[in-house]
Parts: sequence; structure tokens; C-alpha cells
Amino acid sequence: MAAKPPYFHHFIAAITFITLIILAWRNGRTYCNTICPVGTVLGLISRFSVFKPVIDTSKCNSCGLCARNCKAACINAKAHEIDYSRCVACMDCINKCRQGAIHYTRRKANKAETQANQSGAARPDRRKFFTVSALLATSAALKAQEKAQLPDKKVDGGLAVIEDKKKPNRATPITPPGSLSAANFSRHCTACQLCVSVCTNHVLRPSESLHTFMQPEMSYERGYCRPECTKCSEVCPAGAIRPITKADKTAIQIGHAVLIQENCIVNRDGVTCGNCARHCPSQAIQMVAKDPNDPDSPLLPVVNEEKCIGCGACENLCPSRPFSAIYVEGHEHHRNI
Amino acid sequence: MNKDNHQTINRRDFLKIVGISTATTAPLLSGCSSNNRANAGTSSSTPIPTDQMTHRTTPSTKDKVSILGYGCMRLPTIAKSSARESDDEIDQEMVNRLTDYAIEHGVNYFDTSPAYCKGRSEHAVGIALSRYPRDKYYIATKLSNFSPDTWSREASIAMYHNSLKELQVDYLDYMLLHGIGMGGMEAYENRYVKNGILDFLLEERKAGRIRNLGFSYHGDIEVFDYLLSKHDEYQWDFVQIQLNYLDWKHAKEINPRNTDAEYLYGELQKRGIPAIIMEPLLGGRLSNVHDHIVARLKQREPGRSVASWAFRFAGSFPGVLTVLSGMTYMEHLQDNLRSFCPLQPLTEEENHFLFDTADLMMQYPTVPCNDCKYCMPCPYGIDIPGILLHYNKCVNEGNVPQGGQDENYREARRAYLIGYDRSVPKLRQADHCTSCGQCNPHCPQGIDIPKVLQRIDHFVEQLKQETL
Repeated sequence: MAAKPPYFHHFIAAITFITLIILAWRNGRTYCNTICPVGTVLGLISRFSVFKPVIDTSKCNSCGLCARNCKAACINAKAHEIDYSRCVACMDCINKCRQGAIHYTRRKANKAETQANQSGAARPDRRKFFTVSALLATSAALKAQEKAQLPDKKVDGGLAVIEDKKKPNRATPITPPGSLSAANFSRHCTACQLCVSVCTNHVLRPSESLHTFMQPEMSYERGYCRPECTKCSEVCPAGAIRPITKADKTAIQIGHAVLIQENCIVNRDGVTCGNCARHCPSQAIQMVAKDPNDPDSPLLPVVNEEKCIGCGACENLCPSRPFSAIYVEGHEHHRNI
Repeated sequence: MNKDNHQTINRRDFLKIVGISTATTAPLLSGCSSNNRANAGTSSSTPIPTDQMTHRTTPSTKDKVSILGYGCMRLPTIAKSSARESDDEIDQEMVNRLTDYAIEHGVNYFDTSPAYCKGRSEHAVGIALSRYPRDKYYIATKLSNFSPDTWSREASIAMYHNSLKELQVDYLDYMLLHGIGMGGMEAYENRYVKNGILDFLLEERKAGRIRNLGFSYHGDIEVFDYLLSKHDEYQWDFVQIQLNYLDWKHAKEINPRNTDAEYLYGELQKRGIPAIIMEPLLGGRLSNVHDHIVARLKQREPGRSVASWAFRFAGSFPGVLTVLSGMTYMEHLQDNLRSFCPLQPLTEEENHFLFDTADLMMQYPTVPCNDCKYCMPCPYGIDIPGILLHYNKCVNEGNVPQGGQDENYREARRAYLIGYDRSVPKLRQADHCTSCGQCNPHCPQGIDIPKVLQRIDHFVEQLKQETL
């Protein structure tokens, strides 16, 4: 059964995208000239470019057509000046000029670049502002609705409703194997989301906490960190997740499993289980009799924290819902075991 | 477009929009992340109390010492990609954090030595502790003049003064003669008697620059007995011994050159000398135990970690002043705090249970190496602790029946074990040991290192040839 769609992260992406489009489209390419670091660097260099559009004052009739059509808003029609730090050489002005007064030619040595005047900041578009805040409010309202679904008991046929697993309240967040430590990870991660997109088991997702905003964190509701997968370490460009081999991964402890005995269905529902022990790749979980003197008493899991690698198979496959009876606490500093 | 007219309005309104959007998104963001609170009562989620640390009192100076002492021999190092890449740079940020957390929760005893962490431990501890008022902590260091070129009076005194300088203190709360017994009576005479250093330290104690004087013991029991026999003259304020539920009765069995902790503790109790405990966990060997032992301990107390048993054992003795633990990671510190805030001593029955467990542990042929690194550096570059620990891992896991393990995992793990190149570079592996024997005098556990390395070499060969 699918988990709730992550509105929040899609929303962030949408907002970023929309903001970027607006800023790049209107008001003289605000994003490109003012915010984008690549644009700024290029702007610094283009000031001294050899070939540029130049207005021939003898032919110019000051109609202002060129300025109106300039995407980068860099033409001062009155003074016949062009701000070359903003000009992207799109040649729209040359195309538009009916007098043939603009030419793409060697710059004239007399005038230096004009003032790079205002930032071309976004216009106070009230309509846009209200749309944005309305979007924010709606998504918040949607997220607030938590539908608790209890498993139904049907006599014949039908599928039991499976509650969504809730993310446990971890004291320490988990970072992927290869990240060495939480400090190393947060220092190097650029939140490029490459690892999130490549994680086949949907373990990595962007964090919502303010401290590590949009940097990936791990949780095991939708999958667990499989021993044979090292994809995130293969794609990370920033050195936040160093490359590791499968063999390395068997020895990296990113966290350890912690038990919540009250939630275990052996205690709660009086049934036998053992899912966690069965699926633990490092055999760190054993099922032992609850009563040391009675070997026939129900079997409960125990965790060997020295062997647990924190992969989350137990948390993912624990049938206890909505809160797992076993979950992984992260380690700030990964250990080799 | 009329840029000039809208110029000033643009910026102000732009900032207004940005400000309002940020103000609206920020509470939404923080609201979104509160997901659930269903971890009621787990051992790892309840906060550790800050005022529940058990304390013991030093008879001579009436210090109120926390039962948990911070051992600074295994300080955390900067994370490197591979397991044993020359890990020498101490992660000062982490040390500071751990110290802060420890002091916050009641730890006030810190044990270091000029020899620890390749000589950098005192410096790191000095930086971490100097951020606190002097009376908030007790510092213990040692005169670690093991090397013959430090035996001269000048060199030893220089080492002592250097300790004070690195630790950024004017006086030491606890000063130890380091590792007496190693090298027997002869070494003791050379290190402390012939150069008059013991008298010098006694003078320092009289002058108040050393508040408590004691010694730590490993190896030759003759020196231990000798120094205790001189208790009336020297008035030892404390003695540091190796005590844990394995060494209590089995130390001599593990290695004939060692002494059962039962005897050591008994001798101290007779004379009313408080014991400071080192190696309560044997460098992790008492937490990284065989699965059967884990099941046994956890079945009895599901809420407690395997390590907590060892710590509670050490702390349960009334004559123990403090139990030293080299807590490299935050998880270690937190688990120990849970064991000691407050300490719940073991019952008689639990003690017997532990001794039975110790008997079971004796079945596994692991090497009693605690990763203290006293044997290092080997003059031929062998990574001795690396090899011994890796071997122990193989023994512990090789004995596990392989039925239940995931196929992928098992293969990868076997690859790891056999090709232990990852944890020990090829040139530093056991097959390169020349058996020169220079390491042996340094081992506090009395391990016959060349012999063990040859045994391991043989084991690895068999693994590689699949004839195991």
C-alpha cells in the first residue's frame, strides 16, 4: 500500500521552479544577471568583451524599440548606452532596430560600461503573492489531516486495510553508509538530491528539519538500506557519501536497532513473529524466550548492537503499525565493525 | 519599460514579499516535521538524568568522584574513509562535545597519560577541560617513562612538567606511576628508584601539586605486592587495577603472567586503599561477545545493553572509587551514563549469572587484545592490534552457524574477512612478522605476540585456501 505522497518536497521543488522562471523571464532576467553565480561571473567578464552591440548615435532616432525588446533590460535608449555586464548578445535589439543603428561590432573605446542600475527586483505583484500563500496554506491543511485507519476484520474475502507506518522519533538521524559521520555529511552535502533520486529503496529523502534543510536523511517506512546496494555512494559528487564497496558496507555501522517491546505483536496480539530476526542481514537479532526459565514461553527479539549495521530491514518489515516495534537509531560517527 | 519609476518601490516590496514568505513558511516547516511520539519508554529515548550520577569518596582527600570516569586513551579521531588509515588526528570537536556531555551528566574524573593517542591525548584533554572552572573536574595523569631514554631524572621530571603544561593545570588531582609490573622489579627500580623520581613525586604531593598519588599495575605481581608492602611508608591514596567479570577469576587462566582481579581487589581492601578500575570492558571484548552470550544477557534484562553488565559489575564493589571507560562515541557515553545514573549494583544472583557467562566465554579462542596500542609502533610496521582484532572478529563470527544468514551478506562478509586487506594493509599483515619479539615486553595483557601472529597467519592461509 503506497505511503502518503510527499507533497512537501514536490511543493518546494515547484516553488523553486516557479520563482526561477518568473525571475528569469521578467524584469530583465533578474535571476540570470543578479542571482545566478554563473551569470555574475560572466557579467564581470563580458564587460570587457571585444565584440558587442553598439548603438550608432548618428542613425539612432531614440524610438526606444531596442530597449523595450531587450530581454536583459540593459539598453538605456535615451543615452544610447548599453550595459554590457548584462547583455547576453541575443541580438534582439539589432533585429528590432528599423534604423539599422545597432551593430554587433568592436566596441568603441570612449565610454566605459554604464551604471548597472537597479537589481530589477520582482514587481510587487499582489496577485502572485496571494497565489503563493494560498498554495502554502492548502498544502499545510492537507498535511494536517491524518486519517487513522484501523484494520478491519472481514469474515470472508476482502483485503485488510494496512495502516501507514509512521516515522519514528529518532534521537539521532541516520546518514547513509559512506558518509563517515553526520558532521562530515552535513558539511559536504549540497542537497543536490542525486542520491535521493537514485535510491532504489526509497530510503533517502530530503530532510525537513531547518538545520539540515533538504539534505537527505534516511528512514525505513518504504524500504530498507539493502546490503547489495551502494548506489548513493556511487553518485554523490560532493564527497558527502564517499564511494564504498559492498564488502565495505557489511562492516559499516550507521546506527543500531532499538526495541519497543510494548509494540511487538508477540506481546500485543499474542502471536508468534520473528520477521526482524529472519531478515536481519548481519544476523544481529535473535529470538529468545521471554521467560529465562521457560523455554516454551513466547519468543521475543534481542539485538546485538555490535553486529547491527543499521540497515533497517527490521524496522521496515516489522508488522507493528503505525509505530514499529523495532527501529534504528542513528550514530553520529559511523563505526567499522 | 519604465525602470526608474519603479526602482525604489521594487526593492522595498521585494523585501516585503521575501520577509512575509519566510515568516509564513518557517512555522509550517517546523510543524511539518513533528511526526509521532510513539517511542514511549524505550531505553534509548528517555532522556538521561543529569543529577543522578553515583559518587564515591576518596578516603584521603575526601574528593567526591563520579563512579564513571572518562578514560582518554581511545579518543575519537577524524573520520577517514578506511578503517585503519593512519588515524592520528584527534577529533577535537568531538572530544569537546563528549566532555561537555559527560560533565553535564555528572562525570568529573578524567584519566590520561603522556603516552596515550600517540602522545596527543593530554593536549586534547587540556583543551577540552580548560573551558571549565578548575574545580569542576579531577585530572589524573601518569609518569609514563617506559622508554629507557626517559629514565634519567631530568627526562622524567621534564615529562611531568610537560604534562602540567599540556593539561593547562597547576596541580594534579591524581598522579600515577604508570604500569608498574611491566618489566618486573628491574624496570620499576630503573624508572622510579634509581633516579629518585618516586621521592620527587612524594615531595610534589607534600607541596600540594599532586593531591593523590597512586600507581597502576599490569603483569609482574611481585612489584604490586612490594609496593603494597610499603604502604605504611608511601601511603598510597589509590591503586588502579584491571578488573572485570572475566578477569575476576580467569585472568591467570587466559595468561599465566597476569593476576586474577579477585586477588588484586582483595589486597587493596585489606589496606583500605580505594581501587580505580581500568579495562572494565576489556577494550570492547566484553560488549562484542558471541551471539549466545548476547542472547543470554538480553534475555535476562532486555532493556539493558551487553556492556552495561560489565560496568555494573565493576561499579558494584564498594571499594571501587571510579570505573574508567574509554568512550570514543556518543553512544558509548550515553549507554554508560544509563548504567551509572544511578548505579544499580548487581545482586548476588546476578553476579553468579555473570560468572557462569564468563565461563562460557572462555570457550572461544579469541586473543585477549584490548587495542591499547602499547605494542605500537612495531619496528617492522606490523599493525598488531589491527590483526588481532580482525582475527577475533573472524573467530566470533566463524563460529556462528551459517544457516540463517542472507546469501548476499554472507558472501560479502566472507570476502571482507578473508581479504582483510581493507582493515590491515598487506605489508602490515601477520605474515610479515619477523618474530623479533620487541613488542612483547610492552603488552600489558602479557600476550606472546609473535606466537599469536603466527597462529593467525596459519588461520588466514587456511581461509584463503578454503581448507579451514
